[in-house]
Amino acid sequence: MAIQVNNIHKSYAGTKVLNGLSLQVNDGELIALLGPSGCGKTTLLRIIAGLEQPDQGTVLCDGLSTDEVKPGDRKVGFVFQHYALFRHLSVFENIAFGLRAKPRSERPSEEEIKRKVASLLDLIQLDWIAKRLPQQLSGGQRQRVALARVLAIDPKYLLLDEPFGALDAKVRLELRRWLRDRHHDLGVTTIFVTHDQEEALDVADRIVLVNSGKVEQEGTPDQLYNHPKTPFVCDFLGFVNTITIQGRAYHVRPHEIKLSREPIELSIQLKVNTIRTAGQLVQIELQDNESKPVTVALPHDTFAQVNPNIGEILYATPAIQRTFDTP
Amino acid sequence: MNSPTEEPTWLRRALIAFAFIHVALMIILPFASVIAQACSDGFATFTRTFGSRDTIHAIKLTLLIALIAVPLNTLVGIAIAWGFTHVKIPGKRTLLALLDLPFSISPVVVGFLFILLLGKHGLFGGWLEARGIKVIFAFPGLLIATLFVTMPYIAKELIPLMDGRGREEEEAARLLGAGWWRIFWKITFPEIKWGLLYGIILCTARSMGEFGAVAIVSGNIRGRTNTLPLHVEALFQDGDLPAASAAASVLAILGIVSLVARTITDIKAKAKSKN
Repeated sequence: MAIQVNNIHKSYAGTKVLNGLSLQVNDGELIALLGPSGCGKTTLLRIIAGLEQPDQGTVLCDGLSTDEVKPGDRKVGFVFQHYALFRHLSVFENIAFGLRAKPRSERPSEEEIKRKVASLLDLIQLDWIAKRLPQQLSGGQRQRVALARVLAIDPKYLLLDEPFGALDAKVRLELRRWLRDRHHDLGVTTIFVTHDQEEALDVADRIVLVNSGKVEQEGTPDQLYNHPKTPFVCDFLGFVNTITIQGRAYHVRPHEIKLSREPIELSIQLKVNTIRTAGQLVQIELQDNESKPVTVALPHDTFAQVNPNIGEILYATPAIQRTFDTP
Repeated sequence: MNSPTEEPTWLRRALIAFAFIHVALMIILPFASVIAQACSDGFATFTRTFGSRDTIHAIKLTLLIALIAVPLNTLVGIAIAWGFTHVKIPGKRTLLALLDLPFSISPVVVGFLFILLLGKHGLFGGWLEARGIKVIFAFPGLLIATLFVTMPYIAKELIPLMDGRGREEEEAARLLGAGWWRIFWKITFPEIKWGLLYGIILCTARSMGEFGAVAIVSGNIRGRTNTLPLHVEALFQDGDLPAASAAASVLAILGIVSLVARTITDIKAKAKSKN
């Protein structure tokens, strides 16, 4: 067990941020801490790094408590949301910082530092910007420099706080795939914080969904997406319709609804409002007799079989009977 | 045409003219008259004034006080600013207001406070006298009064700089294994250096120019406890206006030098905080 978080409580000025949160991270795992903003995930990451003290509870890294080992000695690579690059130092010196900060006995020679920084610049594919200052870089470049800077100290754990939050959509996608591949190569135990469920589903081995200072559910992306334990998990991991049939609420995603012209068992009547055929799936907006909207997504061939018209009344049935109501 | 948010042209011109005349009358004219008075009979007054033992002693004393007070207040100022911005202290606002005390109370009162504390009949006066330590009407008193009135300058400059940016950079440096000295020297110091220099200049100018607090604790013993500002006053009381002007012109020139230095560091500091 690489990181073990036990029953953490933390309050700021009387407001509970973490409320008895526990978490285990295995060696070499890539974990996403997912949750809405203000749920306490960044605070948890800072506590794991040793930047904050919990009011109650313990954090063990490889069996050692964070109280016993100073943050600087724990080989934690922490990447800040806004990168926190040293703005007075060049990219080269930023990456070399952790090497130069080592105690004299462990400090590599100038030659070794140059070699190591060069190899890291190569890894982040930015060897041509070594002499620049952080402010001369784009957001994506800064993020990669921040990552190279922590990789220089051969971290045992990588903690990333909203690593792609401040980047535009395309760079974000590129960089997270790049991060996943680097994690695959390096095998460093990694926790990253995000509020973007797509990012978590795309990158993580395991997702820990945090809500109001507690773990709501943890598991593989598949477990959380397809087998949510609470309506909150279901809702947070992607768009979901709540349709009520015979007094029970079914939580179904747009692609988990079947449409037909004939009345079938366990179905409700919906009126077609709009149809959008441009996209991977055909998006159909419908409404029930109380004008509550329902979104259905169908593959193009299924859509062609049903071929609904606007204004038509159809029967909708959940393909997956996901309900959190106790019968 | 004026834009709707602008004042009419005549009003703007009148205001600018008023400002210029005011500056000329209130600052440039008196300043020029001091220099003119000092030079009224050529260099003779200067040679006479600066040849006198008392004047030389006053200059030496003023420089010595500044030489001790400024470095000491630099260290104290950095420590106060660092503490305020890095340590959780209950009642921070009240303490910060207290830091303004040397600015907000009259220097004469400050001098008087020290007499009441350290003077012959003061709170600690007996204790000091029993050990043969003379503070009031002696060098230590001058130094303490100067330290007190110049104490906030550097801390006040640094607190907003240390509070603002760079906190995450310090955390990043700590997690990369840097010790406190490396963090301060490599991360914090480059951020604050222009502000620090600005504070040091303000502190130096004030410590050399301080009159009120020093006047009370000095006892005005010529050639012993008179600093340069007090010496100017003493010469003036003698009715020796040219000599007083000559001595004052040294302080005036110090003032101009610090003004120029302040302007330069201020520009540098602003340029720094922009990028």
